[in-house]
Amino acid sequence: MGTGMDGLGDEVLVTHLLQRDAAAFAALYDRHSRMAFGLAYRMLNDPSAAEDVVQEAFLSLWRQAASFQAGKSTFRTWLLSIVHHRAIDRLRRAQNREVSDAALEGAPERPDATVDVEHEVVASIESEQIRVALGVLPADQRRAIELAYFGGHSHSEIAKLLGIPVGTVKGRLRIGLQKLRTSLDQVGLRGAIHDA
Amino acid sequence: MTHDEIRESLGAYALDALSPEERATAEAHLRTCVECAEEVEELSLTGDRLALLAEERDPPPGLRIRLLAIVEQEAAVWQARQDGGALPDSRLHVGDAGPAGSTDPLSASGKPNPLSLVPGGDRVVGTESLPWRGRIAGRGRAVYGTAGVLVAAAAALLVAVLIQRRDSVTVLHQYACAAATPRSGSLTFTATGCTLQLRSDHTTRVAFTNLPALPAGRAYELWLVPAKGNPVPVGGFVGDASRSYSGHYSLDAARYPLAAVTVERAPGTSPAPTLPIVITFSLKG
Repeated sequence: MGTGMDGLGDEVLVTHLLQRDAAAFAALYDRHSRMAFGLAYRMLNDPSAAEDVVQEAFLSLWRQAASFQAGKSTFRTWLLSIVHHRAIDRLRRAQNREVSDAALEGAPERPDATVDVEHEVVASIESEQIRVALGVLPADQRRAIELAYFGGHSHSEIAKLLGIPVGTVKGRLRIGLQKLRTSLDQVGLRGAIHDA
Repeated sequence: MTHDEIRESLGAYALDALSPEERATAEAHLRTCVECAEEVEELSLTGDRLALLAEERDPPPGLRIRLLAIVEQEAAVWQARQDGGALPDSRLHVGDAGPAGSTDPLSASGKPNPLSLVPGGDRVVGTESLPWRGRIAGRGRAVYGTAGVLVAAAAALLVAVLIQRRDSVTVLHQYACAAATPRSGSLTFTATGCTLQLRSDHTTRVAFTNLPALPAGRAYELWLVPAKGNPVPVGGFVGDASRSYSGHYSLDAARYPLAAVTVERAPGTSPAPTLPIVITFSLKG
């Protein structure tokens, strides 16, 4: 976008937000809005609701940048966790919601767009590694995790959907995440996602 | 819940799948149990990685412009506070100025009144002011040469008026400019502007003074930014020799929270605002 911010890392740009630098905000938006919208869309399966969630998340970023702790997670992980929480809030506010098939399916085709190539490559590699790691999980654990993460379902909802005890759901979620962590450790990805 | 029961729930906790009550119980436990706290941090980091499974997708184009309009506005307020200049809470409350006491802010500042306030019988019933910031990024002085950096002194606070007629009320939002923050590659300027929303005929009048003169082939255009959806092009400004710009538009700006001014090749020719935004301001009363 030619703002002079393109060469700066995410964590540096976040510090600019503390000085209410709108150009830094624009740079972060341009870098991460597609992933944020992709996540919100996959969870909500509704472009309008996803737009609301992404707007709320970026305004939260703008207004509460000081709450980002660089040593604890990467910026992108932090931002996406905000999107995720907001989407879950929206899902749980919705009445009579049903299991979102879209949340459990592959994401839709990505439209053409001009993107940051380096960011795109890194994200693609990371995404593939996680996809592989999730793919080796037993199907019942994977499904429980997907229902919780992308569907925004509580353990009791998952138990009802799958017809299994709540305790079994808890076990699948915990063991599944532990295995996923181990798999990502083996490829050096856990907790080491690069900032764009 | 026992330690073991809570520990068994840590996966659900990390994925935000516990009930609010269970989550509160777990969080109380995590404050005192290092073992569980370490595990849940690991599981949460792992769970957060799942976000990357979602394919990137282009958000609606209006979202970017809307967010930038909001943050520019908030940045201007923040900057004004830092500078000790005109603040949102420095609202003027003129009150009833009497039947012939209509205060014409632009006339008061020695400028012609492009708003064409109705003379006589009007009264000032309320005012407000907000700081806003103007910025034109890009080639700055080289492009907008003779305009240069306009008034750099403290922003002039103008008086906003509500003109009450017998059967209608004219609402005026007035924006006084805080000193713009100089930036590399930017032309900063100090200008004043105001927006009138005429309840009587649902039209809107906007006027600015001291906007930088634009080179040939460029024009200021006003956009209304909805709470959702794409910005709506309103029209261009007509300028005069005194750098006063004004426009009268057949729409009700009160339905929109924000407005933005951009520089276009010609009003009405661009389907979306051309960035950067020159001015943003709130239309909320």
